[in-house]
Amino acid sequence: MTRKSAQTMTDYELIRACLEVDKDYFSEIVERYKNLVYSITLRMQNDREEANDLAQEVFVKVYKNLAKYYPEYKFSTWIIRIATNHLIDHNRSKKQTHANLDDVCITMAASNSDAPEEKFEAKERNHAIKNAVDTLPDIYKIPIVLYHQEGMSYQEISEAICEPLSKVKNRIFRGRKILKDALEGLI
Amino acid sequence: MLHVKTCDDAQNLIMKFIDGELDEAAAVALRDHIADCTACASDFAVYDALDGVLSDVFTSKREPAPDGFTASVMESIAALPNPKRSTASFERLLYILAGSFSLLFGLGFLLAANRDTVIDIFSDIPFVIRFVDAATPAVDAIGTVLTSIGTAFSDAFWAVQGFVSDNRLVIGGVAVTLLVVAFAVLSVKLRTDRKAKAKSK
Repeated sequence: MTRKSAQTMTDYELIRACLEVDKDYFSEIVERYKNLVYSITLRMQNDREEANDLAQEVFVKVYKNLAKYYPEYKFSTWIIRIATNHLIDHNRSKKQTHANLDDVCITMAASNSDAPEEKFEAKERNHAIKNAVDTLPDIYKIPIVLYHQEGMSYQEISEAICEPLSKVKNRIFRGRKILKDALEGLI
Repeated sequence: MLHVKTCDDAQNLIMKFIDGELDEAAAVALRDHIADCTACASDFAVYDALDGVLSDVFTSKREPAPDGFTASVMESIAALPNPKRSTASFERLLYILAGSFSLLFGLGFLLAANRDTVIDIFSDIPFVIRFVDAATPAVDAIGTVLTSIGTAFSDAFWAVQGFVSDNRLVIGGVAVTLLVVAFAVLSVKLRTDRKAKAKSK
């Protein structure tokens, strides 16, 4: 396999080559989507080492299920679906709890006391918002990350997480409301 | 002209505004509402700012995957067997065939159940009459063959039924023995698989 030939292949051609010819073609798939998967796992976990491990596990899962991919779906949508499911399973097994709104507000109040009374520096504000996003429950956090970070449409998110479009919209709305309530006064 | 009746309606329009999906009429309705509603006006300002801030937070400093990521993944999959070609396409074909047969069976049943009505409708069509006349000898021949097959199956069934009835005890004993043997073989296989799995860990 030449690197050049793999680079010119479509995702589906790469998958078929991986299944029928040589598993080394999978390296090109990893190259294409590693940043996407890593950025999602990093945003969800907020720990580089853990995000790296999870992202690699996602690709192993992708490899194991390669034969189940249908070209009717965009490959990026399919890989995001595997990534989000893996993240949810991982967090569930760790029995991660997410701070409720009161905890978020306490965090905000604590950081407030260190900040000047005047308008917050953009850096501190962003840090506060990042914390607020990190404490969102997964069911709201995932669609918000996919929408605001990856720029996916509601329809694409719906296909990626296998939820109806109305539910996706509802969760994004709800997630935004939680963030708004937590960050009111800071923005 | 669109009117925003409740603050919940306004909240929905604010979300559409953030998503860039607000048309002109809805935008005017929202503007009119927030001109009179301080709560919604405040919410609008916060959501608008939040949207911009979220985009900054998410898209700034987007980190690429660490060096050696691909090599590490390839190392992980090196020991894995090649993923098998999916049998899903074959399963799909089976579903299509099953669906087609069900449809044909259902149609056939409907036609048979309403035979007289169907005959009345089609017997007025000359083309159908000519076709039926031409096809009748072939249909009769097929019918004769099918009847013979049916009779043969029926005779065979009654012969087997008679044999089973006359040799109940022997057949019962053989069936139980086969069940016990099958159970024993399955248990041994399960135990062997479990041992092999434990060894591979």
